[in-house]
Order: sequence, then structure tokens, then C-alpha cells
Amino acid sequence: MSTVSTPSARQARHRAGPSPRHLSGLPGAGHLWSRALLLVIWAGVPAVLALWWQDTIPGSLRGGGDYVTAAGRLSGLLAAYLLLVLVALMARIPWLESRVGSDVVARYHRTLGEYTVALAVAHAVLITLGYAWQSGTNPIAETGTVLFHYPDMLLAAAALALLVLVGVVSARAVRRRLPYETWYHVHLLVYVAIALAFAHEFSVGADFSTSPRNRLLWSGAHIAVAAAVLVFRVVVPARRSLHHQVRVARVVAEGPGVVSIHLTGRGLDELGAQAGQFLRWRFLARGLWWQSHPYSLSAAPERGQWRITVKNLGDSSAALTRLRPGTRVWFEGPYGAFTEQRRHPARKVLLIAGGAGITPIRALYESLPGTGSDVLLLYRASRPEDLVLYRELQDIARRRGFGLYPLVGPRTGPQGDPLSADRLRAEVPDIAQRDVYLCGPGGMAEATEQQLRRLGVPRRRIHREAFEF
Amino acid sequence: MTAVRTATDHVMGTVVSLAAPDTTDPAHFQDAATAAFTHLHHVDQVFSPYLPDSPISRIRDGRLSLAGLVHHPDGPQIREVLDLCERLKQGSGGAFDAWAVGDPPRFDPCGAVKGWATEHASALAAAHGLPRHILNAGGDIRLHSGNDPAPWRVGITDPHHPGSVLTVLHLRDGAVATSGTAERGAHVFDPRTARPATALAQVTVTGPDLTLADGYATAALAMATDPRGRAATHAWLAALAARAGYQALTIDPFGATWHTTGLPDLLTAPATAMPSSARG
Amino acid sequence: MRKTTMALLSTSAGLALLIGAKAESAGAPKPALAVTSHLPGAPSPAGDNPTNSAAPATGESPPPATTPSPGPTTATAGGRFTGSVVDTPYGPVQVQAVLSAGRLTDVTVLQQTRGGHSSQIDSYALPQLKSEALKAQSANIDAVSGATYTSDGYAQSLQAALDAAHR
Repeated sequence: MSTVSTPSARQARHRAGPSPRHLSGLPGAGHLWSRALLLVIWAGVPAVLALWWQDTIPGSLRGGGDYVTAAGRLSGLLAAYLLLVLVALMARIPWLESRVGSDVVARYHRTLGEYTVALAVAHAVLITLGYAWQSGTNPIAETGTVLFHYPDMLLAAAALALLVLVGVVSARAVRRRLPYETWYHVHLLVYVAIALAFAHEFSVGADFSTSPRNRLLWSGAHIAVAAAVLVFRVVVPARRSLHHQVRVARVVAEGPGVVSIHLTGRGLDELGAQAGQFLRWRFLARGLWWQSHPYSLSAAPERGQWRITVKNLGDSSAALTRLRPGTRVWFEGPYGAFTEQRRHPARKVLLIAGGAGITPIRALYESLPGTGSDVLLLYRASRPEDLVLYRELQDIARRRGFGLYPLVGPRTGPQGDPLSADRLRAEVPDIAQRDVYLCGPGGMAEATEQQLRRLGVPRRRIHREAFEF
Repeated sequence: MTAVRTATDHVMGTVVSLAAPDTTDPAHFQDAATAAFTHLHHVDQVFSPYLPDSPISRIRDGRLSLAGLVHHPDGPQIREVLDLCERLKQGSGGAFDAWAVGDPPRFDPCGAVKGWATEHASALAAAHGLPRHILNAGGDIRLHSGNDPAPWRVGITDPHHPGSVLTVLHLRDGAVATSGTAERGAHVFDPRTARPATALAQVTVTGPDLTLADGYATAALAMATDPRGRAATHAWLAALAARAGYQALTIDPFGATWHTTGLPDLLTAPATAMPSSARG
Repeated sequence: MRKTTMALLSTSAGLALLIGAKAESAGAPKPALAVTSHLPGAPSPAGDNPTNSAAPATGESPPPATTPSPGPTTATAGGRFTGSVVDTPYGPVQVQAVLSAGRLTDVTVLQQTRGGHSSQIDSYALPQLKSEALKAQSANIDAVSGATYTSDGYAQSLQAALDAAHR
């Protein structure tokens, strides 16, 4: 993850709605909202369990087979509910993106995703074992019976296979080795999986096949989530892309393999994009139109001009360096709550960028209000040539008097990790009083957050753009 | 209903049972049973598709024109059944079509005749001095209670647990008709599709009139095998309950049950009367 | 990964508690109408010949009309009536009806269906109706509504057991 802007935007795997224009600037507001979101998600769990409790006949649980089957039913209900939550989290609902924050939403999605796939697998295994136990057959034979003799079960099995596939490509170890496009497109199969699984929930699921009320509630929830996905992921982006007519204005080389792409369009200011936000881009050029990538704005948007900065990673980003002016661009966004509103207006700010994470930080560095030591930037890179956009940063620092500290060198150098607590305290003595914006590769961001916490920076004042790769 | 006297008879390919309180005068009972069973045997002769010279066989083969019914001694009855078939065809959106039964499609009103005949036989029994009785024609039931407030209790067979009942309906007056695949030994799974060959294993319809209840149950079972499937059938039954007050209970090949919202009223407390209001 | 493992472990514990609580909430299990309790050596008046009417015909060719043969008597019967083995889509089944003083008090399935399908089907049954069925074990049933049986099928039907009881 030594590259510059490609990942800086990729980190923004999650999406956010339109910019939070009226967001309160109170510190910790995002944290309150994220608590509220957790509360809403958790509230669904007892509701789902209550379905089972209500529909289970007293006295019908009479032995091991019944218990295992009940556990299977419960895990199935939970898995189906959480799948819906997972999709809702990723529906780019403005409230989630602007209030809770796309980084938080993405973190929940990631954590819940793994758990949900495990629950779905447990559901299949437990139900099969439970049935086999109840009927005294062996589990292999029972698997055949369930698959071929119960309605809609082949569809459900396909759904489970897809879920497991998505789970596998999202596992960190696999994810790291996969091109972004592969991961992204495989992930879309979740929609297929939910659709395939839906049929068996009603035809075999005891809690739905027998209760019109439950079917109504369940369908309603699915329809609501589907509508949100359709509106916020398809309709709104399509309308915006058609209306704003965004095109590539020019492509500027920034260094070896690094280009900035300048974009113009009709009335871009209406969208209220802010420094720190990202958009999902689809360049309508040969070989590129079928994939979309998130890239952060690498300069504060102004006068109908946007800019992103991309490093040639050898994959599809190579083609981006050869884009021609005039190329039409479809976009989704702007997304992300990694903006000025996250901080307390009276507090000083520390920006920490790691390699690729510089793009949104660069935009914030340019646009955050203040003078002198109000804003400091720590820019971490392994080698001097990896300090992309460094000249621009120097210009801003000179113009506004902000601090700019490049931290170059290996983590295992003679002076130790440049982002260790000791080094950080030496560089920024008032660090515990500052709002910290942190953007960099996953490992670096995680380690740095721990160091910041050790230095007494409260969690609510550490603002991260999730950086999953 | 501990003490009842019963009579049974083989007719219409099944066994018909008549039961009345054992306080009933034996002569009255015998008289009423004879009237009811005679009627059923007569209907069997007129409508049997198995008797080559029954009027129905002749209509099917084109030997008896519908216009010719005017002069036929059983013309009015046949007319009535034909009208009933037409009503059921319209009401079920074509799922029940007496003019297209089997493969190749032929005219066969059997699906409508049994309920209709039993409804009439039960009325005859009542007219012959059995104000309180229950007439069960191969699982399709018409019952009357007269002035006795106690309801009759009608068990609904569980197609998945032969010999046991799924539930018990409490009725004072009315009809219960059940159509199903279990007794016919239908295969539960279609090996080609690995899906149930029939979308519903059993349909029970209860309401004031056995003619309609039987027709509705038959139509629902046919409708469920149609591409529109189970959901459409349930929607139709629910609409029927709302419109006409006929409550329904269905069981699918996997044992899942479904019922109209008014049905539970018949399960618990002795119902004083058939629900007349619509609750679908 | 560690988080997920912890979450799954606590989920298992939570679900186990929930299922345990549900099982406890039920009280003593009630025997359903169709419990499989076979009492050997019980008297077995032949249940497969419960009527005194003319010879039954097959389902495909119903008998021509015969004279009505009602056989009303006031005697009520008791004992066990054993049906013959019937092949059903769910396997071979033999039904035994227990009658006492003219009441159907229990029905026993002597040969369990194969594959244990029935117990799985149980879990799909509508709870509301199911609990009614449990209550119905003590209820007298006056008549049984089911898919039309043939003259032959009648012998195995519950209705036959009821009729036999009142003969």
C-alpha cells in the first residue's frame, strides 16, 4: 500500500450521501449517531427472536433433534435479518453517510458481514443435522432430502454458496490479492443471494409460511431496503450524472506514474462536495466503462472544478493515466463524512496521512480554516519519492503558515516508528488537545490510532476514513 | 355427541354416513335415511360419467344436446348442475372447468355434483324429520342442528398424519368440504422439477352451503396446480371469505397450513352460528 | 476474526438459553392425538369391515345404485379397531382407533411413516391450529372431513371408526 491516490480513494469503500451541509459541528456527534445506529440494529434482534418464540408451540421441543432444529431456525432468522441490515448499511442512505459517517458504516458492515456469513452456514448445518436427528437418517442423506424435496431449497443452497463466496473474497488475506474490480463485482452477488434465499424463507420457513402478518412485515422490510438501494445507488447517481455532464478537462502528470485528473461539469457547486469527500467514478472510455472506482477529491472543490489524483498501479488505474480530455464521466456521490464538520471549531487540528491517504488530507489541508499551528500535517511515506503532491503541500504550508512534517523512512529505522507515541508527542506536544484526521493504509491507521489513544486523544476526536484494501 | 345413531351406504364411489341423536325416533331416522340415500343413488345414476347411458355420458359424447334437456325428465336437475359448473368456472377464473376435465379434456361435472347432491340429500333428511343431523359423503359434510344449541364437531383430517385430525371445527349449521390429494395417493414430489407435484395437499372450505363449499375446495385445489400457484389460490380464498363468508384451511405438501382469518373462530368456543360477516 | 468468533460463541450461548427457556415454558409435553403408543394384546374387532352394506366397489368404477342399506342401532361400541396397512405417500401406515362407550378416545398409528418426514412437517404446522389439535385429543368428533375416500378407502378412515362405534 505504498501508492498514492488510488487507495486513498479506495479506502472509501463505503459510500456517503450528499454532503452534510447542516451537520452540527459538535464533537462526538458522529459517535452519538453511530450509537443510535447500533441501537436500531440491535433492536431488530429481539424482534426477530420473538417471531420464533411466538411461532414455536409450547411442548414441541422434546429432544436433541428439536433443539438443534430450533437453533437452526433461529440462526437462519438472524442471518436473514442481518443480511438485510448489511445491504441497508451499504445503500448509501444519506442519513447513514452524513450523520453516522461512511467509515463507521463500513466498519459495521465489515464486522457484521463475517458474522452473518457464519450464521448462514450455521443455519444450513444445524437445520440439516436437526432434521437428520429427528428422522433418524444420516446427515448426508438428509442433505439430499432437504435439497431436492423441499421447495425452493436449491435456490437457497445457491444463495448460501454465493454468500460464502462473497465472504471468502472479502476475507482480508484474499481481499489483498484480488483486483478491486473482482472484489467489487463479486460483492454485488449478495443481492442475488438475498433474492434466491427469499423464496425458501416463505415456503419452508415456519415463521413465515404460516403467518401473513410476519410475511407482510418481512416483505415490507425487504421492499424498503430494496427501494433505498434503488433510489440511492441507482436513481440519484443516474440523475446527477445526466444532469451535471461531468467530463475530463485535463490530465496532469504529478510524478512517476502519478496523474491528477481535472474534471468539469454543469453546476457542480450545487452538489456541495467538500474537501475530504470521495466520489465513485465511472469513466466512459474503452475498457473502463464497466467498472467504477472510488477516488477522493485531491483538492478542495471550487468554481465547478474537481480533481482526483491517481497512481498507476498496473491494473485498471494504468488506463486512467491515458484518459483523454472530453471523456464523459458517470459518478456517484459525493460521499463521506471525513470533512471539516467532524471537528470542534475551537480545536486545533492534526492531519496524519499515510502514503495513499494523502488525497483527502491534501484537500482538507487546503481548506481547513485557521492559521499557523492551528493545522499540522504529518505525512508518512517509506521513500521520499512516495511523497506525492508534496510541492503543493509546501505551497499551502507557506501560504497559510500551517505545519508540514514529512516522516520518511522505514518503520524499523534507527529512530523507530515515526508514528510511535513518543515520536508523535515530540512532534506535536499538544496532541491530546487536537482533533485528529487520520487516513492511510489499514495497518498504519490501526497502529496510529492505538498510539493516539495512548497519548490521551479520546476516540471521538480521532476521525478516520476507513482504509480497507 | 356421545349417543348418535348412524346409517351408512355405498354410493357415488364412496361411503355416505348419516348420524342423528339417538333420541331420534328409529322410524323417523330410517325414513329420513332412505330419502337421503335414495336421492344420492338417483343423482349417481343421472350424473355418473362411468355409466355409458347416463345423461351426463350422453352430453359428453354429444348424444344429448343441451337444448334436448328441456324434455328430459332430469332436465331441471342437470340444468342446475350445469349452471353451478358455470358459476364455479367463472368464480375460479377457469381453474375449475367441468368441460375440460382430465387428459384429453372431457365434460365431467363430478367435482361439482357430490356437494350439490349431498346438500339436497341433507335438506331431504331434515324435511323427513331429522332437524338435527350430520351427513358425511366421503368427507364432504352437511350438518344441521335444529333447535339444539350444541354444535357438531367436525375433525379435519391431517393429510400428513393418516388417521389423525389436524383440527376440529365447531358448527351448528353449515357445510365442510375437503379436497385433497392424499387419499388418491398422489406423489408428493415431481421428480423432474424436484418440487411438489401439487401446490396444495388439501383444501377445506366451510360455509353455509355444501354445493358451493365443495365447488370452492375443488376449484382451489385445481387453482393451486396452475402456474399462478399457491399464493394466488390463497388470495382467492381470502377474497372468498371476505365476500361470501366461506372460511378455508389449506395444507401444502410439506405440512404448512394456511387459513382465512375467520377460521379460528370455529376452532375454539362452540360457535353459535356460521359467521356471516366477511373476514378474509 | 477474533471478534467474530467471540460473537458466534456468545450467540450460541444466547440461543441455547433462549431454546432452553422455550422448552421449559411448555410444561409437561402433551400427547398428541396421533401418538405412537402401541398396546400389545389389545382386543381388535375388525375395523376393516365396519359396514353391513353391499360389497364395496373399486374407486374407478363405482357401483351402480343399490338399495339404501342403513343399519341403525342404538348400541355403542368400545374397543380397538385396527385398520389394514395402507400405502400412503408418506409410507405404509396402519391406524388403530380406540373407542370407549362410543367415543373416539385415541387414534394410534401402528406403523410409523418412513423417513420421519412427519416430525419435520410438524415444525411447519401452524401453531394456532396445532395447539387446537392438541386440545382436540379430548374432544369428541362427530364427523371427519377429508379428501374423498373411495369405498375401499373408507375402511381405513376415521369416519369408519366413528360409524362402527355407533353400530
